[in-house]
Amino acid sequence: MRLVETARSAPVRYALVFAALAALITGFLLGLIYGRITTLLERHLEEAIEAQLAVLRDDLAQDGRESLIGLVRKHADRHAASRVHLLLQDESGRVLASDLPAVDATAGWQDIELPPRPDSENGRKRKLRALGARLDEDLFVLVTHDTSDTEQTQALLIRSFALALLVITALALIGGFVIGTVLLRRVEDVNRTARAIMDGDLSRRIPVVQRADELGGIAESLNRMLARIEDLMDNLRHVTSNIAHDLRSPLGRHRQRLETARLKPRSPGEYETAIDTAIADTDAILKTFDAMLRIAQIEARSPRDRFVTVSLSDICENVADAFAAVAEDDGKRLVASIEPDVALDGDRELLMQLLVNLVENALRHTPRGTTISIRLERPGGRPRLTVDDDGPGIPADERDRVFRRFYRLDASRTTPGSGLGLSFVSAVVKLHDATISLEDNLPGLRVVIVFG
Amino acid sequence: MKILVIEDDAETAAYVANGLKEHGHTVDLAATGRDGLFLAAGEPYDLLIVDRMLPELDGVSIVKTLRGGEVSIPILFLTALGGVDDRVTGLNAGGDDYLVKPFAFSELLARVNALARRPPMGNVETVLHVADLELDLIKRTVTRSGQTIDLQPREFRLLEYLMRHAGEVVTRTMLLEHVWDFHFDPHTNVVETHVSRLRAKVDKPFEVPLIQTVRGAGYSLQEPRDPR
Repeated sequence: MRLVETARSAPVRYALVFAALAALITGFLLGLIYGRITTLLERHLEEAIEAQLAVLRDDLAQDGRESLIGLVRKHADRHAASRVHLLLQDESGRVLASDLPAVDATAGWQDIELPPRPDSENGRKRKLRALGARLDEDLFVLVTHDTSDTEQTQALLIRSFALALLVITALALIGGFVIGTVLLRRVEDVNRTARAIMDGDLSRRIPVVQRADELGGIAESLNRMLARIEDLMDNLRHVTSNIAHDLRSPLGRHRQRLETARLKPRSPGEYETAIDTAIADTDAILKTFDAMLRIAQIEARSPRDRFVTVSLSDICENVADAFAAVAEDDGKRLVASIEPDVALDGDRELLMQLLVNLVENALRHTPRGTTISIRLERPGGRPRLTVDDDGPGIPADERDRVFRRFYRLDASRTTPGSGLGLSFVSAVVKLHDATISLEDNLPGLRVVIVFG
Repeated sequence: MKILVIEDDAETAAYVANGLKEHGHTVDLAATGRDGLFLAAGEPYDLLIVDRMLPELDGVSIVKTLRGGEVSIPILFLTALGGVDDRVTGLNAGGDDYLVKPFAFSELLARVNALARRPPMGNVETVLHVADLELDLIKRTVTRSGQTIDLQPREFRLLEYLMRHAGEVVTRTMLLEHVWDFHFDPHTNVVETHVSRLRAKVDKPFEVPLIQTVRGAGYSLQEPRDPR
């Protein structure tokens, strides 16, 4: 609920931050450009003034003082509206030729302000850039240039730059707002899904919009996690009903037998048999509980706790040796191909039971004449344990489910076993950070465990 | 034998005590860890049966204290804590054997007998004898009535264990633990299969069978009580 409230302000916050950043960067850039252009314009103006002054100097040198005065006068008369204004005065400060009022005869650069032209529309003072120079002892010249062009350009620049700044900032505002809204909508998607799941709809998943970005990645990871949780919950439901079923029937049978024994007087021998059967029944039930407890203990154990280096080769040899005779008596064959000195960090006892479970599983679910093989190899340095048989195998669509607690294929409902063997195997595999896969042995089942 | 049972659950304590008394043992009971330790340290018992979880002082602490005081009587842990780690903890603390509840009384009795007759440390027998059967631990050979019997290494170990406990009942579980190092109960009949193969080699060619089946408990290596 909190997220909905902040959704109102968070995109705005995004937008403001974006806009401020955009304005800052754009402002800095445009300011830099403006400064450079202004400098350039001013230099152009000064170069023009200097060129003009050079012309006047040349004229004086070639044609003498009178010619120069004439030239300046002519310019003043003819070009009253020109941007260039000239002033020529003598030592006493008398203006010899000009359209400008007299000024201090100072050499060098100066800025001059003139009253507005009578015909001026805006009534602004004219600004002139001026360069004064002494041509000879009695002749001072001032070359000026109207700066209105430069000012106009500058004004234009400022106007367009301001517009650019405004547009960019506005775009950043909108962009920030949109991105913020989209991001939050996706976060809100996650939140909504989480709430739906909390309300009990475990099948809900977060919509994955785009796979490439981080949010998409999070959504996918979360979806995988949700799938795992759903699987576990499913497993748990399955287990509960299976415990009820798998323990209820032997208990029911147990009770029935006791009741039958109690029905009529019997000989001590008959009672003894009845009691022995009852004990055997109870033992079978206890065994199932033991198996469940063991799995729970393994799952509760922190991984790698108390691990020591154990020889997988020894374990395989031991189990192969123990079960070869059992297989033979059962009309089957157990063969082993074990690479020596394969060791890993693990729990010897659990690994031993893992292998025993796999071998017993193969023995239990295959007909006479089957060959079961234990293979231990180390391709690429990773220990790989394979137990396969050429029996009937497991249908591909059932292979995942056999790891579930109490899961039993329909075909094996009647064979003895708790339905916990492969769950145990799977728990031990997980504890050892190994991977297990069930494959088709063409024909038969092949169980492959690869250790890290 | 004089046996001390340290067990806080009255029903289990009575079950164990009565059973052991029926088999001719003298049994003392202690219901708390402190009482148990006090009795064990003061009286000369032949065997201790200790629960892991006890009021006042837990079983592992009792055993550690006793072993720290150089008390070397055999100790059997009897406990509901059946995890792999639990057993290792118990044995590391100085226990000699470990039996997980619920248990069959025959199993307990077999283990009690096996512990009580455990030869003192340092006694090295290199040749085991039972009737006309002879097993040489060094030469790794087995003969019966002078005839050499060829055994697989596992069969040799099985026979060795049976011979070391000749006359006692050895349970399936004991054999699984000591001969195969299986601390769990396989569903298939590993023990039966190997015992039957061993019988085929050790008993079948001879007149008197030595490997006896004890119904509901296990096996025992001895000459039959009533020889024909």
